Amino acid sequence: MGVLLDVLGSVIIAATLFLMMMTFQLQMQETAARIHYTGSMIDHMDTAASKLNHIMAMAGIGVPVDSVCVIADESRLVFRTFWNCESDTLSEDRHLIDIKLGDSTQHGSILEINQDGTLIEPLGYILYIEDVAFNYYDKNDNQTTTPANVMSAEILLTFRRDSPWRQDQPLRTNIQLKCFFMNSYLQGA
Amino acid sequence: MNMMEMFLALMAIMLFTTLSLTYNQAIWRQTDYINNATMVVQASQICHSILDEADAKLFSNQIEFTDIVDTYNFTDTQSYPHLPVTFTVSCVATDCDSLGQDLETPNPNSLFKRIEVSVSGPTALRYPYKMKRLYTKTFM
Repeated sequence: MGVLLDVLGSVIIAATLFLMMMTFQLQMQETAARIHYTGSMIDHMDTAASKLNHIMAMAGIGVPVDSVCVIADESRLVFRTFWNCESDTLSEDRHLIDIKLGDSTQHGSILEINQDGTLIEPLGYILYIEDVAFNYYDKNDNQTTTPANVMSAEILLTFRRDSPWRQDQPLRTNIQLKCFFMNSYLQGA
Repeated sequence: MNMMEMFLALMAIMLFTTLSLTYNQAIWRQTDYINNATMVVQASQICHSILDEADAKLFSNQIEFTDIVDTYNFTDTQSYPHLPVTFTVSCVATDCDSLGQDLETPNPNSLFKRIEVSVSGPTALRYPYKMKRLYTKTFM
């Protein structure tokens, strides 16, 4: 009887430890997957921020300062420039660049960049966006909503990506950046 | 349970405790790296925005070239509510030579100025993030 109890106790302890090890392994796998996802998201955030900085710096080439910005909404920015965003070259034609959040999908949304009404980069360069908000500033760094006074924009981006294991716990990362209409400043603001 | 069995049970407990601690430490360390990387991206954007602001104000003559040293020497605590995190931003501008080295004696008429921005603050940012830019006086 004593031996039987010893064996039963050993089996219970062994099973408990085995379950513990399995749980650890699963947690490690989940954590590794989340870290991998978040790591790629951080890289994506950096690339998206650089891209936005570049686009905003090209606003207003050859355009009078007070005519650069056309629409300065909380979720949409439209500006004029003699620069072709699609080919990233200077242009003889004046273009209208429209930056806005695309339709929401289950995987988030794309920050759409339209040139003269045509979506460029239809596959989306700045993707996994959950939310975007713009704050605008004049040349003296005072917040403004008047398009003619806009000289810089603060962009608040929220990225979201579904968790690899738990769909109800998406991975979110935020970034806040400020971009300047360099060409307007070059014209003396 | 005799003495040997008790000893073996104790050893098993120690072994699995060590294992679980090692696992947890590994996870915490990886999480630290990820948090640090996120803060580095944000700190990099802060540095860029301050240096870009200096560029913009120089372009528009809102500040003179000789004003760089006076204007961009400050330490400030800036809040970024979207994250939400508070960073300490430190900006140091100096007269320098063409290689960005400090002059032995500061010279306000130096043709070269250097602005160095350092961002620190949240615990997740393990080391201050620094970025510097060299400015040259032109006569265009």
